[in-house]
Amino acid sequence: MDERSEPDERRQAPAGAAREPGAGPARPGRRSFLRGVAGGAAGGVVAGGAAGYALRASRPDPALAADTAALRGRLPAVPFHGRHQAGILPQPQRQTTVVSFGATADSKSELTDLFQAITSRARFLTAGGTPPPAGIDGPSPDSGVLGPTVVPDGLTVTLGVGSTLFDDRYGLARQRPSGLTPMRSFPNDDLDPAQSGGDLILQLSAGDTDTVLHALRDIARHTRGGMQINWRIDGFRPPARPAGTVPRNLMGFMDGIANPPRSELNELVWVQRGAAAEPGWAADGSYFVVRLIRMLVEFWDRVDVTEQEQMFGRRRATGYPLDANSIYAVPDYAADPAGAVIPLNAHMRLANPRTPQTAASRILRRAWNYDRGIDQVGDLDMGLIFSCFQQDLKRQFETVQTRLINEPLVDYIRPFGGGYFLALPGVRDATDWYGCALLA
Amino acid sequence: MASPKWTGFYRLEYGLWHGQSAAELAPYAGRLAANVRALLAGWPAAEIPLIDIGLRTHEVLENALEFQLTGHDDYGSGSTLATVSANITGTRELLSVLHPLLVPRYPGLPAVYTWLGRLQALVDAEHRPDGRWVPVSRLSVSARQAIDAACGQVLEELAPVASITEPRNT
Repeated sequence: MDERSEPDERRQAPAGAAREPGAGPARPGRRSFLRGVAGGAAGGVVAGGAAGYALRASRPDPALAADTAALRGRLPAVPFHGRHQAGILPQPQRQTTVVSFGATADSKSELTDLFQAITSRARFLTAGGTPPPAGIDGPSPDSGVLGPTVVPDGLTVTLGVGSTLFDDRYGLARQRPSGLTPMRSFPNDDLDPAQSGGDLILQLSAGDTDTVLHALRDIARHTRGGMQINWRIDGFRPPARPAGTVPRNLMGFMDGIANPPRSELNELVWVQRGAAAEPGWAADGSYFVVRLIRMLVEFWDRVDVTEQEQMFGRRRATGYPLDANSIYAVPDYAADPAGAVIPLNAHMRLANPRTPQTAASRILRRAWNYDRGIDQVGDLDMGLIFSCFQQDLKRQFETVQTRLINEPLVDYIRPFGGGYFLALPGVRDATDWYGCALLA
Repeated sequence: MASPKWTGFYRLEYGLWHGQSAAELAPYAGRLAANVRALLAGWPAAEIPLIDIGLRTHEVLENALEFQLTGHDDYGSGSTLATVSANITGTRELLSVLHPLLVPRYPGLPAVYTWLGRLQALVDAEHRPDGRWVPVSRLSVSARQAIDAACGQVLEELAPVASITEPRNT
């Protein structure tokens, strides 16, 4: 629900960006808790087990337009390798799951195995390919949810670490990034410990739900002893209605209209190499905030549209700022110092006052809607998986959230969970793995 | 729960239903009583903008639904229906202030009172002869659904009040 400055440039996954066949590093030996990684039938036969899955990457058809591709579950592969994790910058895919884990690995060496296993599975799942056949002496190595050939479907895997990973279990205390703390509870928050925090956060996003769930089941079965799910929430990003506008949240307002331009990512999103306060391993990562925010939609629907628009600062139907006639128009707060047109406490005005003094607090926001059943009085439990990426939690997310304390919108939302994480640097190539610089 | 900054009615309720001693809780009770007396004393001089009354009339029961009927604000006594009953009284009071404005402008006003009456009757039915209230978590499914439905319907009937009582330029 926050508003940031310029519309970001669309990052399209290049069509035909398939992984080179069989390009996986030789896997290090598995410890007992990761015995499943090699996959029943293939284990012992295919050297390196999991990496052997990526025998034939699917080749997306470049002729497919994005929307058609999404409908057919055939989004092109998003390249997994890179300096930064691939799921951070692209426009949100249609489906996502956000999963918090507690690490159960019992040594640093087992933790290393865990990160390598996640890397290996992510490398295969994002490229797609044909899993090895089921053998006669065990269950099938693949759930079969996507049929005999795993399609990439635009899958991205984003892995982050929470402050609790840096306790005394793995000897990583001195490697903790200075800004990585447990998530602060802000006034009006109603945080449920069972749905907050985690040693690890994993976000899987793709064009379709089955792709996301296939990936989650695959990664979970290959890491069964190394991590356990704390909490999980699924989200969706609806199509823009009308076409050509911006997808809406479940309050009916367009969400995520403004974000920093790509030219500012090194100032706003990525942890920089050599940054004084940060350990070297964190460079090219990004602080990753997840906030689970229930929207009290029955209550909201009983509120006059004009009052709703005053709370956000935009027109509900069109997404226009209240002082302008196009979605991407920059609101002119200087011309409206008393808030006669856009109230001073309107959400978008507090979130991003668009002044030189507040420019450094901008964040890259990514949001999905969630919908998951009902509450104790039969009202719908739905809302927003707010997430954002930034270089510095205090300078950015916490500063923005502090400006938003007691905004009028708080009556209609309830933040109930989430956490602070550091999204790891990208996995650079076939020999690299998640957290290599932290654990090696 | 242990924060010393936490005071007031819920703090007292929490202590009473979690085995805390009278000596420990007396200061909270004293402070709460003093605050209530101060509110009563200051109330005649309080100025409430009429527009706020119109805008917020449905919010009393919105909060009842969100915090009392869900059990969210039950700190041990299981008496959230008592609070709902008081919330109904409060809503009636606000409506009485707005009544002259609403009668000529809101054809749905009779339905507000109809559903408010039904909600009141359903809540009263859970007030036992010994003075205790049935905790919402112990209500039968049918009783709980009837209460939640009536509260939801009152809220739908009340929703237009804010727009109707808002001053217009045109």
